Formats: sequence, C-alpha cells, structure tokens
Amino acid sequence: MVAPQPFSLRAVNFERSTLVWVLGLLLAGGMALNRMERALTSAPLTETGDGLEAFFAATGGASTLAADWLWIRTNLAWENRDEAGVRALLRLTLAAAPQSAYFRFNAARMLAYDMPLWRIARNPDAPRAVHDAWRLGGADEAIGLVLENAGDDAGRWLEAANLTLYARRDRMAAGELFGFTAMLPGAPWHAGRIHAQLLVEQGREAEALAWLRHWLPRLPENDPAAQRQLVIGRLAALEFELWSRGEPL
Amino acid sequence: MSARLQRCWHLTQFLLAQALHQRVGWLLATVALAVLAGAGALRGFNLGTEEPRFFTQLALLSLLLSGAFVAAFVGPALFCEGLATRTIPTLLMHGARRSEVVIGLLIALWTLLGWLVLLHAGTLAGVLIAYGHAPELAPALRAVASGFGPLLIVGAGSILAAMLLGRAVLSTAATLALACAGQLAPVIAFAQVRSSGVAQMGWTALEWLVPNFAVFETASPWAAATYAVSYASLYGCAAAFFFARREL
Repeated sequence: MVAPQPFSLRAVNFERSTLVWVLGLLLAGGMALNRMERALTSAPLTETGDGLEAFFAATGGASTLAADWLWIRTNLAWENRDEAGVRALLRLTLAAAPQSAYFRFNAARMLAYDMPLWRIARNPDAPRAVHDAWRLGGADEAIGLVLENAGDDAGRWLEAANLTLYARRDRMAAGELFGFTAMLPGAPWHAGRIHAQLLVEQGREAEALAWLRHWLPRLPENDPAAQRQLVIGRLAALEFELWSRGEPL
Repeated sequence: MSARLQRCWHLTQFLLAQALHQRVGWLLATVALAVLAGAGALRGFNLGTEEPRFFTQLALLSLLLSGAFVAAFVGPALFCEGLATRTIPTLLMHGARRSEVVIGLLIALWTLLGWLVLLHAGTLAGVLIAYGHAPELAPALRAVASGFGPLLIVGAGSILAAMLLGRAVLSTAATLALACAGQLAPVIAFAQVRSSGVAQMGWTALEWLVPNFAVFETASPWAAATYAVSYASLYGCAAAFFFARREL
C-alpha cells in the first residue's frame, strides 16, 4: 500500500535560481512598465481631501461602479421616503463620484424639493412658518451642495440659480445668479434671457435694458440657441416701454 | 518556423477545445443572461439621460468579474488537468516545445476572454438599441472593449500562477488576488510613498509586479493597448521561462 504524500504548498520542483531569475525578470519588466504607468495615470493618491473621497479614489475604476450601485440604493431609499437613508447614501454616492454632475444635481433636487415635501406630508398640521423653514432649509442645503467647489462651472451655477428660483422662491437672488451664470464661459444662452426677464418682473426695466444692451454683442448670429433676434425684439420692446413712460433710455 | 507556428496553432485549438469541454459555453450564456436581466432591472429606475452609462457600467462590471473568474478557473485548470491527464507530457514527448505549450495556453485563454468581450459588446449593443439608446452605442462599445486590457493581463497572470504554484486552487486564488490588486493599485502606490526602509522596498516591488488597471480609464486606447500587451507579454515570458526550467 502506498503511503499518502504529506501536504505541501510546494507542488513544483525547480531550482531556487530559476525562481530568482523569474522574479528578476518580473521586477525589471515591472519597473520599466511602472514608468509608462505613471505617465498614463492621473495624479497619485494624497493624504488631503475628505476621508470618504480618498477611500473611493483608492479603489480606482471600482469607485464609478460603487457610485452607480449607491445611486440605485439611494433610489430605493427615495421610493420609501427614508430621509436619513437617502442623506447617507447621497453622501456616499457623491464621495464615490464627486465629479458627476448627474449625481450632484439630482441629489440637490432631492434635498430641495422632495425632502421638505416628505416632512410636510408627515406633519400637515405644522404651522406654515415651519413648512417654509423646511423648504428654505432644504433649498439652502441643496444650493450649498451644488456650489461646493463649483469654480466657474456654468452648469453648477445655473442649477444653483434654478434652485434659488423654484425651491427657495427668491426671484431677486435667482436673477442675480442667472446674470452671473450668463457671463461664465460655456454658459447656456437662456441664462441671460432669464436674468433680463426676472429684472423686468421686479419692475427694474431700465436695468434689464442695460443688461440686454451689454449682453447682446456676446450673442453669436449663427447659433439658433442664442436666439439673437428674440433678444433684439425684447430690447426694442423695453426701449419702447421706457420711452412711452418718459423714462430716459 | 512554419512547422513551429503550425504546432502552436494545433496546440491552441486543442487547448481551446479542452476549455470548452469545461462547460465554459454555459458560463458565457449565463453571463449574457445576467447582463440582460440586470439591464431590465435598471430599466425600473428613473435614471434619465444616465441610463446608457448605467447599462455600460453594468456590462463592464459583468465583463471584469466574469473575465477574472474565467481566467482564474480555466487557465490553471487547463494546465493542471493537462498534467494530471498526461496530455501535456504526451504533447511534449511528441515534439512540442514547452514554450509552445505556454503560448498555446495563453492564446486559448485570451481567445476565450475575447469571446467574453464580444458577447458583452453584443449584449450591450442589443440592450442599448432595444431601449432606444442607439446614438450612445459607439462610446459604450469602446468602454466595454477597454475591459479586454485588464483581462489580457489577468489571463497571462493565471498561466504564470499555474506554472509557479502547480496547484489549481492556489493558482486560482493567486489570479483572483492579482485581479483585485490591479484594481487597488493606487493603494499600493500610496503605501509605497508613505512607508520607509524595508517596507518601502517591499511596496515598491509589489508596485512593479502588479499592473495598475486605472491606466485603462485614463490612457488613450493605443497607450492602454500597449500597456496591456506589455504586461501580458512580461507575465507570459516569465511563465515560459519558468516552465522550461521546472519539473513536470
């Protein structure tokens, strides 16, 4: 009868020098490829930044997949109107994909529009002032989230302007934000038109006229989205209105 | 030279047939069905304009996971079963060279992984067209194709692990560890910068041995392809070198 062989991790017979040669080959090749790798990848991890963001950055491409998974979990929590769960998952999602405008904007919209409504639905008898405080609080939190490290990102400023207009319901502040956004590089053309419209709604026709005169030269003639003719028409209408009221043009 | 190429071709065909004998076809079909089911589930969420990106990420995740498992299980199994059933020794006795066996193993495994990429690309294309995202097809397919780079390296790593470790279970574990380490390469680079002395030397060695899969997200397609082929060739050469000098 043959005695069973003892278990050994070393299942292969080879000379020790062979392993040294293989390791040497792998290390030498790896060193050369590491130089190429450093030129091809983005900046290495640093100790700065939020702990969660650093954690997700360490996982490389897996962070995008993690963000998608967390966003789906957020959607499920949102369907259940679980405010605490949604908040926690939103934070994780944004830490996993801080550059994603889609996640950031939709997170802000949940904070600004949905969460105050959930609270109001849970406490319909609360005083109106409390309802307003919830709405304003949600809007401010959402605007803060959108403008976090926004720099001159026109998309983020435009979203902040929209949140100020529709969630915070502050037409004056929203008007200023639309005006600021319109001057940023890459801003959509409608930001400038909304700025003028909000000035008119506040009875500041002279300022709206001055804005349109200042802004009109920036509008390209060959881009239909710029709607240059529409702006010229509004400018003429404002001039006529101010002239008919006897105000200086 | 042509006789050698012809031997490599026959070896590859034989090894591929052996791989298929391990019911890889069923695995591929299951993966495709999983992607379809996942896309159907994602359709239930209101993902707006991001829906095609979610579908693409799902397909990429499925490709990377299933590819890592195919490489980790099929590569070592081909080699270890070849030894256990005396197929590889018989081939060697009939004139095949050891380097040709390694090349045959690599090409057979890469062919399988290539089929996996094609299957995912086809499934994703079907999903995107069916759900009205045909304009997003080109970037989505490019993203899925970029998944072949890591799989090429993991496949070569699995053959190297099989040569070095000899046992299928250990080789499978080592291959899966390599796939995870490639994803976590930024952590290794960070630890290398943070440590000092002997620990730093250890981290540096690990950083050189392990590829960084983040390259496939940031680099241009040609640079990423060069990187993948270089690392896979390095592992393949090391496997051939070791196999030529070890006992069977």
